[in-house]
Amino acid sequence: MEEGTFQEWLKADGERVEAGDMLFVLEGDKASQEVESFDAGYLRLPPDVPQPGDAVVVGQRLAFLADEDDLEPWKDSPQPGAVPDRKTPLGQAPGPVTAQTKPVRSGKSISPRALRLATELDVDWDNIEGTGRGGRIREQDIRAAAALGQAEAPGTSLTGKTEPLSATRKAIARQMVIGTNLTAPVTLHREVDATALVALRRQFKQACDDKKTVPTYNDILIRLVAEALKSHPRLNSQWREEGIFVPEQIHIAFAVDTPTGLLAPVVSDADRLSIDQLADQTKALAQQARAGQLEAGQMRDGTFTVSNLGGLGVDSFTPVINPPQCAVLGVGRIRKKVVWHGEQAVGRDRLNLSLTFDHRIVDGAPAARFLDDLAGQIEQPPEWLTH
Amino acid sequence: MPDPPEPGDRETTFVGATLEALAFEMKRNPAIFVMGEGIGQRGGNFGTTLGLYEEHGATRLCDTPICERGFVGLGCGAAMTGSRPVIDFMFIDFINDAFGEIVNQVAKMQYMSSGRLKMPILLRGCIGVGHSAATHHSGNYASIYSHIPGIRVVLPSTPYDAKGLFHHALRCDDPVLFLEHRELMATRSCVPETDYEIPFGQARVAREGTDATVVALSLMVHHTLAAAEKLAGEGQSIEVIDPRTVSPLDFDTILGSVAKTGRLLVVDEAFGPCGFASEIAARVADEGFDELDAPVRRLNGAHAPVPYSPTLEQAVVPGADTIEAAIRALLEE
Amino acid sequence: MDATSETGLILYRRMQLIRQTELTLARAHQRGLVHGACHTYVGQEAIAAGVCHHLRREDVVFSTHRGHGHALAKGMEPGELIAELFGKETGCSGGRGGSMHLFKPEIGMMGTSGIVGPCILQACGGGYSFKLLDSANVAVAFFGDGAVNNGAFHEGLNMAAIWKLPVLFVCENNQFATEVPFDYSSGNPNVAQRAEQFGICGIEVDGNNVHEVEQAAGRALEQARQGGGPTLIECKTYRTRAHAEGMADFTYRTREAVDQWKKRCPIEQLGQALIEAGQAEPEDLNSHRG
Repeated sequence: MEEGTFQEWLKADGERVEAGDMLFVLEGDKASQEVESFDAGYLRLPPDVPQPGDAVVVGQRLAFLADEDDLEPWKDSPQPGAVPDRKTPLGQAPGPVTAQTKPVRSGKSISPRALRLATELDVDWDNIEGTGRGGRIREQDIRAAAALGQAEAPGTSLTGKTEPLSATRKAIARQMVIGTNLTAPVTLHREVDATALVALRRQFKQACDDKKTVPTYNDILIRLVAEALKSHPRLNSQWREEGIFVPEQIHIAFAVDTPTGLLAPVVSDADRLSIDQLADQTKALAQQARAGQLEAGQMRDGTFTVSNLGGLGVDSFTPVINPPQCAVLGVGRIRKKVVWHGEQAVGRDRLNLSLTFDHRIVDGAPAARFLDDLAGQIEQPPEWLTH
Repeated sequence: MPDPPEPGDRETTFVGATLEALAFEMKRNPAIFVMGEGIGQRGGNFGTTLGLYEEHGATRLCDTPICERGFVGLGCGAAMTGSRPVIDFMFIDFINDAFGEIVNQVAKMQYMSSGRLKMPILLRGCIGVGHSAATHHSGNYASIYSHIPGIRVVLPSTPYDAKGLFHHALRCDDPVLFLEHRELMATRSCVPETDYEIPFGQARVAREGTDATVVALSLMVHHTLAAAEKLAGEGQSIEVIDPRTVSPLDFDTILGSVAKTGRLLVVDEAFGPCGFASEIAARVADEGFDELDAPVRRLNGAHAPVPYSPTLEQAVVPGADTIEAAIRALLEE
Repeated sequence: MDATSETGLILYRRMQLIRQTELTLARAHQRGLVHGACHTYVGQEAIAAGVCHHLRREDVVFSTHRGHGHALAKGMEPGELIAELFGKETGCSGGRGGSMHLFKPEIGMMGTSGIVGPCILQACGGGYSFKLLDSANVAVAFFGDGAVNNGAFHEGLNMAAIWKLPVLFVCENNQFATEVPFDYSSGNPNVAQRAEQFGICGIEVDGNNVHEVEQAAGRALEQARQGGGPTLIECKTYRTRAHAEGMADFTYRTREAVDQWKKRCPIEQLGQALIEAGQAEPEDLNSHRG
């Protein structure tokens, strides 16, 4: 994380802060988090203290932890925004509070050529994730970002107001641009028979008392996807410079629509959970996501993503890869259709699946076989699912 | 100087091309003489003077005692007094016995005499790793001599270039170190029968490309072209530049190419430290900093004496495969 | 005035020109006007004067770090030499070189040098050019005793011998290589004798006797012009000033030894002989002291 949006203080101006207290809330990449104070002192908010919604960068001075009788410590402090004075030993005197939560490099790495191009094309590279070695921003990253910017139609005659980009919005944009432009995405579409799936869901509903969570269609699909990935580890893999990384875990991310934007919390080890455990987890995660309470760790290390727009009446769509993952499954709505069953036209529940995968990692045929296995499991749900 | 002609369709070898140029120039300029061990009746260890002794005799094709310092010093004095010596070292490793004469005398004479003396001397020899020539017959000292002001350093990679550059060397007033790679001696390409000059300090774009620039010398040009061809099959477009002369260096062509591609690899069989590749890397970092989309990469021979065994020999110099790997790494930066 | 007396006066005048120029430079050095090294030729004037007496403008001379005398004897104007040591554009090398890089190829002065040895090889090259281009010119290498234990001496004399090059090798044996005594550094301290090993003629002369030098050089040069090959002349001599101006002089040799040699001054010896032979009056000679 290099930048975040300041949300609120958890201590009042002048209040005593002990080491280990949570001091303020910061909205970072996709998640809000409470930032801990490593030092003790009395919180003094300077005149230029950031307001909720302000962007703050790592290393920026937000406020002071001062001695009780030091009411205006900024009077003899370096300029706001300056790097904290490292000559003052930590713990000796209360120092400026910074948004730094972990040791990070002092700056992003960007090639000279990319830097020049960013200036020429007026691209803000602060939030670009570089694709070069060690995350270095390269020319192609700037061009991709510029292409994104041009879609905003510069020089328009339209009037309106510009909504500032939140950290979540920027993170989504970056993920989508990388997933679209810096992978080799291919999408396979398949219509599957969901009649048995509908029956299964009905069965879960009936068997359920009020205290239990009823597994949703999405829960069942996540569980079946996790199972199918065991036999298709390539779809669970990641592209890295040194080679294709195949994780031993299967962590399924699922898309949640929230007021601040799209979030994708992760169900860890989804292949080892019962359907009930999984349903409990997804429910809790979705609630946290909508409430803006997801921790960064709850969105980390997904190995595959399921995105379901069926509830919004969508038949099918092309999902975008969630890098560095290999693939994402797009799920449409279930609807009754007349289909040929041998010589007979019968009414069946049907469902569209769209699998987007990174062709750098896996080829079309193995991806199709994965989809085929998954379809088989949906059309004839395995018995273990209900035990 | 007129532009060099089209190669035409007559093939000859690298050695054959320089011999043609030498024979032509000796006929038109009686001040030219050749000195070296075994370059008289024998015609040179690599056939560099084959047939010339019969035509011009012992004074113009002068076999020498084994005293490199001596006959280079003599060549210096001869060049100061109206003749145009060609010193044929056979293996270029022998030149180092004459290092002081070259650095302190040959290279500085025009300066010391305020340009009133010219120094038309051609120093030639075989460079490079190959044929199990081992550590005293596999050297490549282009970088060392390019460090010295006052010497032209030429490393052709094709028979066509070798002939044109050799003609030019025998018509210019400066000392020229002409380095011929052992593994190129017998290579063939189309070469015009007429005399023509290729000026120093004019690089050749051996292959055009857009994704990365590779600057390579002598034999390395051929290995690089093979690697580039392979990468082309994968959609990577590699530009290959053969500077042909290290001193003077056509830096503009290199910089122009880097401005296009943003990526640069320099391949040189010789040692890395303080070398040709380091010099280009430094100048690109200096003059082309904003063009760079990746760190400049160098690929050099191992910083070690050259071994004898063919397996070990291959291990210490860049080949098409190591060049390919280096380009791939560069593209990922 | 007969031919002998005319030669004597010419040589006297030449030697005195060298001596007075050197003393002028030594004084200038002391006043800080000479920026770099200044190796004077004082005491050795007979050698340059004697050898160059037989050289034509087209003949070429390759010299050493102690080369002011060679340049002046070959015809360089003292003003060009002094200007060079003063670092002036009007100097013979445009101020680029100083004492050890005196060039005037137009008169066959092919350079003094800061490196001991190469002049021997370059003179061989000059000889090779004259042989190749079928000219009657000769090349002369002046070098000190310090050069004769260097590979260039052995390689150069051997090449000149096998190709019968028109070259004259003049060894000015002043007995010290900088400050290292020659008898210490030589297994065979007889330089002239070494010529035999290369199959060429070697002559030893008194380097402080200009007539001896001049006559030996005359014969050797004539032989070279006729295609008879090279000669080595060893001139026994002594420099009576320090290795370079401003350097201490009596750490490696004694004041007495230097004084002894000063009494054998080649210019005074010639002057005395001219007067004794009635070929010159003292006032004639004094007029050359400038």
